[in-house]
Amino acid sequence: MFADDLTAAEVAKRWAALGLTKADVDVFGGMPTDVLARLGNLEGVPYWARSTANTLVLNQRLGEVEGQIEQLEGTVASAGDGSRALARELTALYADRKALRNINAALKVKGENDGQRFLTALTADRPPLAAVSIGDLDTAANVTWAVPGMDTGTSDMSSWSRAAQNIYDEQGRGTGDSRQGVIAWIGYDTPSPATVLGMAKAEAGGRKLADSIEGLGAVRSGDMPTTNVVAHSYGTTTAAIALSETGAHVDRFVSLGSAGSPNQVDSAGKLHAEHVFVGQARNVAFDEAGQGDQLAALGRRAPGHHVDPATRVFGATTFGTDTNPASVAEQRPVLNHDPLTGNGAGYLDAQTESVYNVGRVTTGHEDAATPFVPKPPTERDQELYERFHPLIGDR
Amino acid sequence: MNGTTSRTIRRQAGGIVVLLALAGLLTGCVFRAPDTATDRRTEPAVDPETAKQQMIDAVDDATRLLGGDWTPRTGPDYAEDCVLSDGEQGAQWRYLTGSSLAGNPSEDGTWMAEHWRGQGLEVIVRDSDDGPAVFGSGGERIASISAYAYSGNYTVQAVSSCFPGDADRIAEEDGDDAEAP
Repeated sequence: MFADDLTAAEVAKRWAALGLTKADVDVFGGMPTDVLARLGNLEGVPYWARSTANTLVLNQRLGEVEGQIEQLEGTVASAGDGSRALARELTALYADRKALRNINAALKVKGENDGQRFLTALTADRPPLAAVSIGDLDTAANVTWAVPGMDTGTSDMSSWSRAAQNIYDEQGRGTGDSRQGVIAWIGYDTPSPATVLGMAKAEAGGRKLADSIEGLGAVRSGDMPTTNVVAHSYGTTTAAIALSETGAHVDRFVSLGSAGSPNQVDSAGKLHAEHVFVGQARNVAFDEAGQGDQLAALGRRAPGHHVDPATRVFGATTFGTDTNPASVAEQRPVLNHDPLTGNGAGYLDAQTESVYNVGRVTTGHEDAATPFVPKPPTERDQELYERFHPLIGDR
Repeated sequence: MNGTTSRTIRRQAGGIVVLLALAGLLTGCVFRAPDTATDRRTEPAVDPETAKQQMIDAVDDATRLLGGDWTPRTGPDYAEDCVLSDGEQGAQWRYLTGSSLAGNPSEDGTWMAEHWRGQGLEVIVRDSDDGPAVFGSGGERIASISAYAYSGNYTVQAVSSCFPGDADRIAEEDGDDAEAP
């Protein structure tokens, strides 16, 4: 089953032949850690089994990392010439621990009664990549990948799971089959500010996302759920690669605050998605956070991903994200590029117009979504534009 | 200097501006400190338990009016970030509950909107093929409340007033008692 050349569908077939069910979870306790670690990330294996394996690995790694930190902290001071190398390793161990603890915390949230959480991926990377699903992917009728942007690692898993939870809750408020699953997918190495203008992270991440999407197809081939990708910022660049340069296909793709679609993906029709939706708050200058999206337009200046999916020519369906005044506490406007902000003005914060619309369009209720009504530029941006327009010219 | 060269220089200059801007934004796209430029929270701070009870009372008030059996989906002890009136980061509770009530969506939506307006809330109503979604903001006891009157899937969600605290820390403390899947 672990042969490198097996497809996810072949893995699914071999897994089925084993005849294991959820009643056999005790079997996993007797498996070697390296087997569990491979099983937990193997596309084609049911998600209950992956989560069981990954949770065991997570607990083991947490214990190991704690032990290694304790041991190293005692030796770094007396290591002499080797202390620098040991200090570097200690720093890496601290990062591992932070990520592992955060993943663990994301699995144990209290107050969520409706959507059980599963650890559907946990890689051996340092720190690890991971995916936490809210809702059961083995039975969900509607599955959504939440794909993050720049500077999101698994030390942010609790926060990104909050964003996924907000999508999950909003989807559950629609009509129809309420069995949904939303994956807080930190399954790729997201870019830093130094690499966000490049395409390398999106190319690599897009292929990983495609593997994940195709894995669901293998596990659920006889009972395929509706599928969505909801991506934010550079996550939209990554998702566009997955949905254009691989065989992966979803029913709906939702782009939020896009850092730019790859240049070659210059229309919604080039994405392997039945429907493409775009939410874009007012673009503002980078020092105007609190009045709109201060970063997405900067991202779209990148040489390899400068396509704005919110333009009419792209051909996606746009929806509103910042229609209402900042004073309202429900249907709040997006006033920042971030997915979550401390004051609830991010693209995936609860009670925003944005997350309301994400909930509607990912459950087939796009008629209920609010329309995109472009906000005029801020007064300062308008003044700057008028002053410098002769220098900038038409774009 | 021809037009192409001019455009190239402008693009290069633009690229430098972008890089400088991004370099200055090293905190990245995600999960940054509260942006206090907006005026969303102005209410005085309350203690966590009072805030939670007032939120539960608001949900109970709405579900009683709508009738039927209701089941909690998220919360009432689900904590999120918010901003206190002094600009400091605080925490709030969120409580989502649902019912398979068939109801009368149009009438129920109107009823909820009138009820909350009567309580001094600012109300927004979104109509759709599924029924009305009613959103209430303001008031002194909660931050906000909403009801989706969708036949077969009625939901009511309320958000508590913001109180001094840290949502992540509350979640971690609570999570110690919860079981991993």
